[in-house]
Amino acid sequence: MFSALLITAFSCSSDPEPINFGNEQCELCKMTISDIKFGAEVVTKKGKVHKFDAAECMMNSLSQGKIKTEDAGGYYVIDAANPKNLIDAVKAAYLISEKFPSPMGAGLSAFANKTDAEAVQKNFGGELKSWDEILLKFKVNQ
Amino acid sequence: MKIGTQNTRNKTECRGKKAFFSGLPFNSAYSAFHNIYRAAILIVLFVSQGWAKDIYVSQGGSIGDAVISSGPGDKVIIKKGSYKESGIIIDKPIEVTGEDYPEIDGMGKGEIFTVRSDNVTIKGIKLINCGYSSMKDFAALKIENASGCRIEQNKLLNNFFGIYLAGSKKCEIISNEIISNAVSEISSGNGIHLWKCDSILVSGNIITGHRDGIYFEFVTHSKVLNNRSEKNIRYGLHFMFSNYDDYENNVFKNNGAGVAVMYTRYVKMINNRFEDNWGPNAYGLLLKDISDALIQHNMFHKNTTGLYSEGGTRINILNNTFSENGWASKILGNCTDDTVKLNNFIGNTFDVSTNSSRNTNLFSENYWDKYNGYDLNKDGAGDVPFRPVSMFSMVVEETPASLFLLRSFIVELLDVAEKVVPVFIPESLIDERPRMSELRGTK
Repeated sequence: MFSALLITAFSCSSDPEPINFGNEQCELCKMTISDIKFGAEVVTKKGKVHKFDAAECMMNSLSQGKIKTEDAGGYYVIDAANPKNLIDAVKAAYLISEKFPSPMGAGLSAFANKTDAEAVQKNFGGELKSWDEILLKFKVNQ
Repeated sequence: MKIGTQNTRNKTECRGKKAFFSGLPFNSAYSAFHNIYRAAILIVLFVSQGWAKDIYVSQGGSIGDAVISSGPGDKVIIKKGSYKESGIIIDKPIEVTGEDYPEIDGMGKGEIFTVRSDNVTIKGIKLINCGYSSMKDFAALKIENASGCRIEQNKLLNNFFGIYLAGSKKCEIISNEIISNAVSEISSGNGIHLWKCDSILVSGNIITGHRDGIYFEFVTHSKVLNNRSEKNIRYGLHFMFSNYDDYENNVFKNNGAGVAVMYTRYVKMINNRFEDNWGPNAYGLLLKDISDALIQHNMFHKNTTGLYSEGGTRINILNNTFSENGWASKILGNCTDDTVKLNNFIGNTFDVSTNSSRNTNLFSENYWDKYNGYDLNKDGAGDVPFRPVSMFSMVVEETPASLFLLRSFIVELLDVAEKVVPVFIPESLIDERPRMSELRGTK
């Protein structure tokens, strides 16, 4: 584990680190990250990894200034259509649907492919959003 | 499928109807013959129009067909035996009961019962093996947008979600046994899951082996009483955004991460036991952004952290006992205007820990077994104040790895030095009237 830490510390990459579902805690809400369709991660420019159980927790962390957007090197979210897989959050398609509940009550899910988001929307209803629209909705200062 | 009508029940119904008819003025002139004739007509009516008839299903029969053939107010009685069925949709107010716990096996396909009507009762049935899906929350028994439903004395075994209520109100979930043998959080759902509900009673249930034992999200004015939630993979009880709820006389034991209460106002937690929740992220009770709560007469026993509070405002923590925990309580610096009064702190490694040198919370009249002051005026309260935060607990909060120094000479020296000249410990985090003896009346 120590060597893993060293590698992360020296590599300074902003690549995502897989979420260990069932064992890791959400940095904001303290819940154990367990729903494999949801989850998010911010990797800072210095390589520090912040993990969340839901995209809304990442958004709230950013809007509350707990993580500064200027420090962030990469944003990642779990692809709801391909559980456990972290994808680039900026390029993801988002769905806000009450009928497709997310861990922290926002009904926010993310998808690598827009077609997957549309398929879920067809089943559960809701509105499709882009990354920029999500930032706006959660009042994240850029 | 065997369909039959039960004589005794129809007889009672007849009597009721007879009284109604005999009240009519023209009725008095009828002869005995007419009376019998009329009774016969009534029985036919009951059967043909389906008023409160009993429908029996025995092994080999179809429960789904019986439900479809039933009418409002009917009773579907399932005889002892095992049935393989799923996707039974109940869309009318009926009662489904089992005799000697008939077993319905969902065979891993979708939901066993889905209720979409008010006033449905499901009682005395054993439900096993509902479906699993990563996209849909399948439950053995789901109630959607209904009120007045009653789920009573059922046994649920090895299901994804057990009992799932969405958008429902005034329902009762009573004395069910909900057991799953899930191995990981990921493939398991919650035992009792409530989403957007109001005025629900959850009482006397036993839940074990699920992800969360009892899960509330957007649930208001509900009561959780006398339940036992243990050995669940994540939380024994977990609720978010659920205001005005009461939790009384429950036991939450040996759950992966204890009990979590988040983003909630006006909640009462009384007479519960939070026990044996061990692990790096395990808490007897985790409070996150809670306000105006009452936590009274609870027992926190043998947890890594008994009570953890982050962002707690106006919480009254009264008459509780904290015994043999690693940390009895961690009350973080962003907690304001909380009251910790008349509690017992016995045999904990740390009694109170915090991460800030500021404190706006009141600690008063607690019994601390670590207190070694005196009481000269014999009023039951120590004459010198007690500071429950030890210097070392602040160090551990900053650098968890330093915990291995616990009970070493250097740590004792540190604590004594801080006692003499307080620098790091919040000045106001002090019990001015520590009790000399253990408080009775706490659980």
